[in-house]
Amino acid sequence: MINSLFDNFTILNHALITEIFLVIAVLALLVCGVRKGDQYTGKLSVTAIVILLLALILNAGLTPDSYNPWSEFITINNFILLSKFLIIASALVSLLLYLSHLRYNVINCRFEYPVIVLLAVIGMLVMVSANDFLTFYLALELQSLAIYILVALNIKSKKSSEAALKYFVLGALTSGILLFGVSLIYGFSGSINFTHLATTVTNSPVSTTNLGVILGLIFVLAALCFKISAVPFHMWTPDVYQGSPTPVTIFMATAPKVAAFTILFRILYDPLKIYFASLEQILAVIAVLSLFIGAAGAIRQENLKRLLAYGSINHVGFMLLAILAYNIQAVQALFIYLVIYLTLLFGAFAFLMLLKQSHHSADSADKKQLEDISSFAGLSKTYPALAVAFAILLFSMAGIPPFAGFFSKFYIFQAILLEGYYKIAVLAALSAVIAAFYYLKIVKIMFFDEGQEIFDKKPNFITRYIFLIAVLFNISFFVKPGIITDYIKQALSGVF
Amino acid sequence: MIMNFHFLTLLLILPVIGAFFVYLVRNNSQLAEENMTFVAFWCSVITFLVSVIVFAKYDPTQAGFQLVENYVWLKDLDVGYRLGVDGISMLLILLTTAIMPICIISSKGVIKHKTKEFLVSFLLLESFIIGSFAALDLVLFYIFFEIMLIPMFLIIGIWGGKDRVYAAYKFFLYTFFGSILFLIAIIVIVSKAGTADITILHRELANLFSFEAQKYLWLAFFIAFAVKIPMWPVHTWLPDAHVQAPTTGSVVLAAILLKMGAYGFIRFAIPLFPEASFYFKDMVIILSILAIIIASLCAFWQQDIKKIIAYSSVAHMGYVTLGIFSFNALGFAGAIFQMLSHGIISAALFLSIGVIYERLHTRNIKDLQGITAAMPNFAILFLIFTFGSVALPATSGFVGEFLTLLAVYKVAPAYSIFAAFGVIIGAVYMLWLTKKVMFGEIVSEKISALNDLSSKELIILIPFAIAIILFGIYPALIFDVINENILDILANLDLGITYDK
Repeated sequence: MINSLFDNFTILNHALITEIFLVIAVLALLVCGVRKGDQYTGKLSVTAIVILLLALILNAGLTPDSYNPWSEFITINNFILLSKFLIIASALVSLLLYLSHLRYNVINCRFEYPVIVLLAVIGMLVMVSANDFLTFYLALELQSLAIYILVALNIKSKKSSEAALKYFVLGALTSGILLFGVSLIYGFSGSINFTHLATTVTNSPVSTTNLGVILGLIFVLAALCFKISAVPFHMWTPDVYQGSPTPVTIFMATAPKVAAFTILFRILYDPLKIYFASLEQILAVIAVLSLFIGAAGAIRQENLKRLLAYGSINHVGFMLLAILAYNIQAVQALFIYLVIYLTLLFGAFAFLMLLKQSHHSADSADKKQLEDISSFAGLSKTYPALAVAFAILLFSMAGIPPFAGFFSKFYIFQAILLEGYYKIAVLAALSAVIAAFYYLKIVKIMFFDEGQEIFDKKPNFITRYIFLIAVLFNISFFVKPGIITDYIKQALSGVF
Repeated sequence: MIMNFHFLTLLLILPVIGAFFVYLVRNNSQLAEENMTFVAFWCSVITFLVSVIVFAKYDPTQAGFQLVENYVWLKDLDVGYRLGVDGISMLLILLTTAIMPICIISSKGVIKHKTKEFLVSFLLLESFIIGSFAALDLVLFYIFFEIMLIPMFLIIGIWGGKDRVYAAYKFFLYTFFGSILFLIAIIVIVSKAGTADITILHRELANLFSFEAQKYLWLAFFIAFAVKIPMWPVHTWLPDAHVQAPTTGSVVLAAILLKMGAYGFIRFAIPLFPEASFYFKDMVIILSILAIIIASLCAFWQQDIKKIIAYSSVAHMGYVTLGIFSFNALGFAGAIFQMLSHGIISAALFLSIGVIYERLHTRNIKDLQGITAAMPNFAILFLIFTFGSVALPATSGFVGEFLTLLAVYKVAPAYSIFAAFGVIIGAVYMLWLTKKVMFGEIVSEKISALNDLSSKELIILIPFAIAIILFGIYPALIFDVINENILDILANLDLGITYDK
């Protein structure tokens, strides 16, 4: 019924309607912000949430057949729509978490925050639907610049500035690498349009041995690996995760990953399919290194954010395995993994914020301590339900059945084993054992150690519900995995 | 209608419901904790009664799975919620449900903090164990096999001894390492065969995979089960886990969780890969013999009674794998009998150690001497358990070890000679232990002031003694239930060997 409603309004059926709407909304929001100042940040954030909700609805109304006048630059299919849905939804959740963060951090609430988040979202939305390398690059820059600012937003904190500088310098370098790669591809194939590349390059006689294109593709891959923080481009991740304010960490750990994985998949699967074989080894090495360095790096971390950063490198390794597998099961597995991973991350960060806020001290030294996993000691005594719930999230991250995290790994393993990557599967399994070790470490601290610190009990209600939903999702996923997996499979069928 | 009733699901859910109600209790007072324990106790008793009903409905004269439930769960891989029992799993489920109430009641007053969490983990553990014994689906089995780690990890880590964290980690990571390779093997099988139903798989698998591939898959299964049993040389987690775990944790670990590995061989590794299993049989038999001898020798040098029993568990489980991999009906029957008998005996021994530890707060042999004088009733029971453990005729321990040795003798006499050495060493250290602890002069006043067993402890321990002697004298009680299934499993292996009873 909704579809038929949209058919009557062709403007609503425009392939870029979500982005157009967001651009207008962002400009309006910016003007309001400039006029009203920082004390309106809360209201602006609520408005931004409403805007994102509307964007979700607009996105839901689109179909692969939507009116697309700029098909040179922009493309649309179910896969992209699903990815856009995930991006908008994760931006929405991270803004909700920001709202609860606002109540306790009145000093740092600059009105730019919601505006910049929306700008980053626009960048990502355009990026995932890009149909040529230039659109892709410009959108990526929009997204990256927005995130540099977000990381640096807390100007009073040295850590935050350091993280922002690190991220910016490395990010700028990556942009250069990406552009260089794109120019190589252009030079050796004569086109930067994905559709043209898919036809011309495939038909050219020297296609598979076209070293220039392969080299260009490797540069593009490197740039994207930086964005998803795969080894060896992961150095910034722990510092930036730790240094940024928690809401920023949440945002940058979730939505940009979805976007970067989507476009990585699209570039490797669609325009330059025939070169995949030459990239296979590189991808395998990157994936396995990410798995192990992510798992091993986290073992000695004391700060929960750093730990989650290394944990995310390990998860990225798993998702790269899906790209490596290069079959339809793998696309599905990747998206199932992404969905589950998003819930895990939101759950874990909501937990972090629950703890942070339950401690009212404004002293930053105290706050830092709260991010240390050793401060969770004895949590099972002070907040048994919270501790049990977080333990479930951790077991899910470690991939223990029957929690959702197990299924995400299950499907990835299935996809790569179908392609016969037995050794890599065994290596991935070993890394999962190492990863289990540090997730268990947190469980151990919460349940086995005696605690001294006692938190007040005044958790924010939004954070609490986000946490609750994430945990419930992870527990109940096993009852009928089909609900999510079938939906994703349906969305992805016919795309590849 | 009553035939279609989902008894196995009921068995699975009952402990979970109990755990839920225990969790709902809000108070921390003494009374509330007692009430929680009783809720948990009665819940496990009801589970036991239901399992008796299931047993009554089970028809031992028929081979194959009964009370089957089958619901497809992950459609495209044909992974399902498939439950069913045969004689072997039926007996193991009975063992589980019978031991659980005893564990819960014996933990009363012993577990002094976080009683609620303890009971919840225990009841959940019971449900998971029943689930893995009843699962007829590879993935479902894996899920139960794996999730069992969580409650056990918590039981060791929260209520354990001084080095509990180390032991809990070691337990978890060893088993997790073993089972993740198992997971990969499962996924390979399931995606190739298009189903995870083992009743279909064990007919199809030989056509789907080359012998070479089967060998690798078998090895992945083997590692998972070998860690769980545990076999030498991956047994090192067991002594630590046993020593650190609370008494009830040790009981469940020794009596039930160790059986999971052997059960995995009987239910999965051998029926799915008969040729590969046969190919590796010498390796497993040698490892089993090494386990029997090395573990027995290790036990000899321990000062901690719990460690001695832990090593003896490794040795006794060695007979189980020995019996299974001798590939004849006698060996299978002996192995299954030994599993049940070891379940009973080791549970009884660990409970007895708990009795001593509660009174004296030591498990060191040096501090214990001459307990008989102060606790005559206890001494009698402990002696029966010891005799069971050293496989004295007329105890259940004898039947299992005798049959497995006989079975191995039929296949390869040389192996049985070495394995028989293990019996002797086993007898030596167990009798030496009993002599040291029970007899001799009383060294301290603490021991002379000991009270004999309370009526609660008597009620707990006497059934074990009765069971040990009963099954020792009349083993047919068990054999009648499993014979058909053993012959059925072996006949389906299709190895070209004929089997007689």
